[in-house]
Amino acid sequence: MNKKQKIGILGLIVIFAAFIAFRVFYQKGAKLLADMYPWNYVALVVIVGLLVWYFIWAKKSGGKEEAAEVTASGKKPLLTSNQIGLAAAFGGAAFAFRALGIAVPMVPPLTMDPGALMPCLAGMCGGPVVGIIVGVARGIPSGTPAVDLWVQPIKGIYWYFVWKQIVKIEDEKKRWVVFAVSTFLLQFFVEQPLCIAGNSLILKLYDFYPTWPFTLAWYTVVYSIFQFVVFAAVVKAFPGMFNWRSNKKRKGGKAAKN
Amino acid sequence: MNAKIKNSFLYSLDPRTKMLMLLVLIVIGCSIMDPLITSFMLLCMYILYRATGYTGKQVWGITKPLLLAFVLFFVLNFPFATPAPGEEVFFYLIPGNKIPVTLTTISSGFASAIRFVFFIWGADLITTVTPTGDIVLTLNKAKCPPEAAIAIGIAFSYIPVLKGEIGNVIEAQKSRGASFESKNPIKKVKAYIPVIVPGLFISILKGREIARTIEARGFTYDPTHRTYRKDISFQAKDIVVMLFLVALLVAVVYLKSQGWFYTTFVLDVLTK
Amino acid sequence: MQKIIKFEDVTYFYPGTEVPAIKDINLSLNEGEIVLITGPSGAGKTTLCSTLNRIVPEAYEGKLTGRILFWDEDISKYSIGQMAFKAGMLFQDPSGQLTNPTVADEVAFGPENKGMPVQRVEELISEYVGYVHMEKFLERSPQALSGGQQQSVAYASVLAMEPEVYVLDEPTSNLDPLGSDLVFELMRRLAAEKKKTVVIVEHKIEKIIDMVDRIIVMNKGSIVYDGTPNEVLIHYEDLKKIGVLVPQANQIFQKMNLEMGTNFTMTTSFEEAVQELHNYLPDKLPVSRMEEAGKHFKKPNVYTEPIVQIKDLHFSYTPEVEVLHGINLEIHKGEFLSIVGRNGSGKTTIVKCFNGLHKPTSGSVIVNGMDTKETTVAEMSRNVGYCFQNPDHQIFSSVVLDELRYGPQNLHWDEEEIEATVNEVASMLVIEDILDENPYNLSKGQRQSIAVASILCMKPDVLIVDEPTTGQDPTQSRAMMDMMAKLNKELGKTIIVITHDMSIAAEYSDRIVAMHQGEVIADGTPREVFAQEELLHSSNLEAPQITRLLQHAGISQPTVIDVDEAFELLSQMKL
Repeated sequence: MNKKQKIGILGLIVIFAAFIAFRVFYQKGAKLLADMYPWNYVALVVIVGLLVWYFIWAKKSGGKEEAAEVTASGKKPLLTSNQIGLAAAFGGAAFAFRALGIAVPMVPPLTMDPGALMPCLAGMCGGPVVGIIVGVARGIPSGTPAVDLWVQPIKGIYWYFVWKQIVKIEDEKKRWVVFAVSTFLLQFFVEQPLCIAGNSLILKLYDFYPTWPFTLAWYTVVYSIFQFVVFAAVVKAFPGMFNWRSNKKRKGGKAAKN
Repeated sequence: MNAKIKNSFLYSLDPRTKMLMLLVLIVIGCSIMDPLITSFMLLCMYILYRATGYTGKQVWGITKPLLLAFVLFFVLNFPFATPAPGEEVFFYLIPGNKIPVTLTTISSGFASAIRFVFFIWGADLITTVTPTGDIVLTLNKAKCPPEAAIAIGIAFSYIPVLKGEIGNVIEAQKSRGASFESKNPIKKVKAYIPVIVPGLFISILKGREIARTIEARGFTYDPTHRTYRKDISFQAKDIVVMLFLVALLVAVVYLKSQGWFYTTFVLDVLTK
Repeated sequence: MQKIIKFEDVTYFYPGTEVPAIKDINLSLNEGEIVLITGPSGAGKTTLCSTLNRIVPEAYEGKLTGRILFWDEDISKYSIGQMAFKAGMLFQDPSGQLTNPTVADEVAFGPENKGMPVQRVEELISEYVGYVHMEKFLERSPQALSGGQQQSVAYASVLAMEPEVYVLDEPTSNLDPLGSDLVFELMRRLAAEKKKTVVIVEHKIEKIIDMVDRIIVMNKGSIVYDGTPNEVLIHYEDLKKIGVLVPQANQIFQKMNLEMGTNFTMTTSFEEAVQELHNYLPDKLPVSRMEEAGKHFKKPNVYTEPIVQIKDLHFSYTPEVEVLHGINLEIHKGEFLSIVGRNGSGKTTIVKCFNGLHKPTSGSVIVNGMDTKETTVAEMSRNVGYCFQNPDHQIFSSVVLDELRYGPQNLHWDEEEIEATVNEVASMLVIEDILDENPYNLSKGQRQSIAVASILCMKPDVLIVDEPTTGQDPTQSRAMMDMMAKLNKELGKTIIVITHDMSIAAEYSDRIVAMHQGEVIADGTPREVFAQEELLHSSNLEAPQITRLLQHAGISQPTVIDVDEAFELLSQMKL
């Protein structure tokens, strides 16, 4: 089993453990599969869907390891220097945007903050470990590290896996549609529930239900639009970085030079 | 950071002690539902801020942006809180006996709102008094891979560089007639795209520079066996503080299990 | 001297390219040699240097053929991490290479990476922070220092690794004159004291020519000249064609020797050049002939109609610290003005008051009748265009055309006008064929043109160009300045250039304003400003080398500002 497959399994275990913890602690000792609310079914469908997709992917993937320079002690490093650089830069950018006040206020204090998108973009172009590091860097000085320290890295991880599948779609128009729909679905069914679960179960700031899926549903919808608009602009500007193939014929390209 | 903060007691503690402090603050914050006790905790946090060298104005500067969040968390809580059995209902928010307004529900709303400010203050104070280098050393002590630790350390060191660059981007776009004053969120998002995209491009280029730099300084030589010039070690004051924190934590958890610290705990104790 | 480095038929292709970045390089470097590598941008200088520590090809992949030997050992068996301690590298961007929270941590980084004992690391910090005179800043954040100080810290971090070869890749490119001098002084000390092999990539040849043993000129991936400074610099006309600017002292001596039959000895030392010239001059200067020659010197245009009026301008970033102290200045329509000064003099601050990015604390700035205090930046952008130093601060779109349309759209022009303007500007700047391209796929020079075009599409009367020469080679600098000159001459735009390159300012400007510590210290034609040598020196500025050469040799009037004028003047001496 290669590193990516191990990471995938770990991710699935974490998601499943979170589901069990939610059932047992939040829903007050309910039996695992009895007395389920509608969103419990939704969560189960998502988990089972991820499991099935994972097995299909694991079977298909060749397990090609990324070549990395071996250190003087003969060990392969966790990250290449390019990945370290990318993680550091994106991690710094996550805070630089916020420090400059670049956040679109919705209903204050709910804002759409480009810095929160950095772990996702880092995962998409740098890999899951880069996504995790940027997520941790984003979480450490956050106002609610008890939540952000695990939610942000998770974002980096799942966006890596989802993006890998999205860029495989041959038809560019279809790819855009899948990209847009995935952004919304991941926001509504993964990121928002994770954040809200953290704020409600760990920090006891409000109840999980009906905050999700109702009270803040409008925010989730608008946020996912904002997220997609930014992602789309970035992917269009740097297609090579995100492995985005364009069907548009160019007159003749030069490699981006500095 | 002013010299007073750097010379404060809190700053001098081991970063692991500070992390334990943050953890204990979070657990205590989550355990206490009474807004009066939560307010007292907030007051203690304010005293800690002042003792660390912050002025009242600086604390207000951190708090002011949170005031609307205060309202939001109140609103997200109090309509859905469950009144105590037999409690007097002052009125119903929605006709038809829907959403009762009682002392418990109001207290619950306030407790949640104050708790949010308490968490933000705690996280802000602890991260401000923890130097970046200490964060990296703590990650190393926790057996975090050196590549990850160094990436996080560089990320924090690089914030001013990227802030300067993205600040230039904002000025450049303003000079092309861009306006970021619109209240309409859609227009605001559209206005920010010409800042976010170049900001990201510059971040990507900086990432490459960082990569070349760490290579040229030999980071890839043998990261797992590299020296760490500075070390973090517990001192007597760390032990004392940690013991105090653990005792506080145990006390709160125990008392909570005995039924203390519910939403109207203090009022009930005072009136009984 | 023993050969420490040998390149044998080395060729390298970056991934996906068909043209090699370096081609058939055969080169040996001797132990203790100080070598200057120069050439236009894209010549392969950085690629060549990066092979020494294996960043090329390891970090970029691509294809490297041939061998590189370090003390006769093929370095291909070493990793980047290992080579970093044999060939230490200093990069161009000071702040970009500082990755640690304090100066001490930065200097310790290299030795720590090698796993050196803590005590040894502390010794190295103490030694090398002292070497670069940065002891006072040990616990400061490197990002809070000036450019020159940052580069000194980066330098110390390379020194602390104690490599055998030092590779300094354009270390002063992004620095002002003061910062550059600081770094050049450190390089001088290194060359004199350490006796190590030093490879320096630089465009500012005149600043270091006196300390190098050898010059290698590269162009299009190949070595075109390799020899001692005197051997190489005699080819100054050929070098000029490929974008290498020979020191003006050498240029004038060459020209005099070739055309006037004089016998000047080429020298790399400015003091020796002054003596050489002084010896040539007659005891009694032919003043009347010199004055006559001076009358034929280029006269700058004079403009009188004010377009920017600054009255008693005061500006502070914070209430405690005032940055601009009561500036009074008038800029005229159609003028080509250069504002010069070292970093921190206030030149960038003042121009940001012209387009409203900074509002005066007191006093006023009126542009085309509009008071910047009463006008938004968006509205001011109709009159004042600002081209930032780095085009990547502006470019955001995936299509060049959208980039050009952005400004006019912000100003709510109608579609017809936008289309007409965009086509006109694209044609003027010869970028019609790349309108559909993704700007991020283009070269930096093209992105620069796009950035300027996007500003021009807003049809401002005043164009501010912020440090167009910093970080650029002479060819790129001149291309940008030629574009500005064209806009000035053909479209009558008022051009305001911020620069600390006095040669560029002399060549292109009608007028120079020199600033120091938030005040205007000199204001006049280039000739008038360069005549005030002491005043310039007190603010860490200096006139072009040719001006100073003649001044120090004894010719103060007329003041010459370029080599042609100097030739005109000197050719009068022996008549």
